[in-house]
Amino acid sequence: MRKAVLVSPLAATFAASRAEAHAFEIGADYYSQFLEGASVVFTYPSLLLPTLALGILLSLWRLDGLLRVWPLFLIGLAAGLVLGAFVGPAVSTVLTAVGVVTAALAAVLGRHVWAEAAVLALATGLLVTSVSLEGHGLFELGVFIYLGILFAANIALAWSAAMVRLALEQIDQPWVRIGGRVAASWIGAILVLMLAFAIANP
Amino acid sequence: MTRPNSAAATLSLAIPLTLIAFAAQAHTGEGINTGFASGFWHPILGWDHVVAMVAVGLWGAFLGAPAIWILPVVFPLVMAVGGALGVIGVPLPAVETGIALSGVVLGLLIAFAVRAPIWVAAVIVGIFAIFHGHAHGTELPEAFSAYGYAVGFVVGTGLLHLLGIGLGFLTRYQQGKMAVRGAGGVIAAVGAAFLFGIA
Repeated sequence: MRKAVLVSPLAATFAASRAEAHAFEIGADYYSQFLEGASVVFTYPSLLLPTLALGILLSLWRLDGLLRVWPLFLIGLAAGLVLGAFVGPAVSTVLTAVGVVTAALAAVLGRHVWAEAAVLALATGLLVTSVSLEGHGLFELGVFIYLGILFAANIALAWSAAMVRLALEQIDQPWVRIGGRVAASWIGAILVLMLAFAIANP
Repeated sequence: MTRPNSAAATLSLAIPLTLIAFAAQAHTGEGINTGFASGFWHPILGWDHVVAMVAVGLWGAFLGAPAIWILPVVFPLVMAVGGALGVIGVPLPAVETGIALSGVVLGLLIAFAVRAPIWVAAVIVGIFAIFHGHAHGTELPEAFSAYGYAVGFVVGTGLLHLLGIGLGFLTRYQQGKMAVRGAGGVIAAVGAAFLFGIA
């Protein structure tokens, strides 16, 4: 087990191919590196929208839904740091598809279960860092770029979950819950179209 | 000190702003903004689309909760699936007929205040959503940002639904109910005009 933990990052480092998705400026100062990492998540719709959809689903599941599966999301993010070295551009399409599933479930289902939330949290975390790094090996980039990516992914998730939770707690009306589902529906619709664009123009 | 008349104050602000206005230069036809604008205005500038989107909200009002909210949840997702089929190039027969029929059918359902079960309503709305989405998907301008177009398209459609829902709240009053049913008749007439090639 210990050996596997050691070997995986090493393999990821050496297997790294030339990155094409995000050309990070490794020579920048720490703060710029951090911002650069964060901006990848905040400005790349294929990364941001599935994360926002997950946050909505978690708070619709239960008010403390995020806290219950956040560790799985973090494990997914960490695993994605390693997986990112091995994946190609197609992984972005996979994340968009996972985002469609997440948003559609949040929009269509009235109730959610732990297994659904757990699997989606793990898968989204895994894919977010994989897509962000897409071909960059572990330790190839400055550590502050990784921190920026992790920070932004968690902020985006926490923000959307918090917005839905706040609305549900503060406004005791049935339409608030539907509002969250409508938001998920809109995000899902955008992601469906993005998925089609990705398939039509690979 | 006397307070200035609010209308006069508004005019005094509006007139100089009008006079100093010049041609917009911010968006030159490239990138996400133009893509967003294209997607946003696309469902709003076509009467056949507008009447169907508003009709979804109006019919939901007659069906009552939860349909008034569920239909606008279902419609964007299914319409996006139709849009995706159009973008990928999957052919769909009689798209324009389907769009025109959506106005006729939804308009008549509103005019006669038909209360269908939620699943029947969702299927009817979903089928028409496929036609509307497909038309939008095949008409995507290639020069524009696809992402911006997708966001604008969904937001524009969603706002039309909200407009329909807002008008649908008139059904809480007797006179409002008659007005909404009358609007259903107008929607059916507009749909028929497109169906028979008059519009």
